[in-house]
Amino acid sequence: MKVKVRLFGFLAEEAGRREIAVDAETAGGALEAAKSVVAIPRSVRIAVNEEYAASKRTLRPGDVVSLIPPVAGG
Amino acid sequence: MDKVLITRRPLSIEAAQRAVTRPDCGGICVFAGAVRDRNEGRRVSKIRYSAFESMALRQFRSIAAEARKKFGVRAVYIAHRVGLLKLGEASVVCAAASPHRAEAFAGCRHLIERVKKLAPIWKEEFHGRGKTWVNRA
Repeated sequence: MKVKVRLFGFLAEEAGRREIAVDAETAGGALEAAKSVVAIPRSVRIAVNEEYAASKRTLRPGDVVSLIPPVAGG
Repeated sequence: MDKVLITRRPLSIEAAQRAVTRPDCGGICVFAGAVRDRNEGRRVSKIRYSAFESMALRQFRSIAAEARKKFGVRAVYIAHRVGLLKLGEASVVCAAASPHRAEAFAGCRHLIERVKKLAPIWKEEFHGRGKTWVNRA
């Protein structure tokens, strides 16, 4: 299934874009597929539809995956 | 009601206080985090914050709900700034109000700790020659 993956922080900077499309069935699969575009350290977390999600989370049509680098707010 | 926001404009401690003031709350605790001039031994000249705003706001609302549930605070304010900030400028302001001070302190502490841990917000520190993404692993 085609899934939209949003990139943030250094991932967006290094990929040179904020969004890519990949083929994946799970959240973790989307992260793996995104590695063809940018190096993704293990510390990166996954969100599906703006909520943190486990990598085994099954994706549904229309789901948006976001790759969240280690946060540094505050 | 809780108030949460992400803004490019300077933050105001008074706005935070106003937002959580209610007649049944005698304790109001406000925390402000500001841009510091050094980090991990390196001089910092300015910081750029960026956020996944819609998700960060969702996180803020859920953190506010946690603080209500865990500490019985009755009003919450969380504001985070994005964009380029100078030294000393406030990057985050949290406030919690409750009938008495102990819950206000504990609730406010909870807000800032959870914001730092969960909110999808990033910072780039600028120093002499270049910049670094903080917490980049």
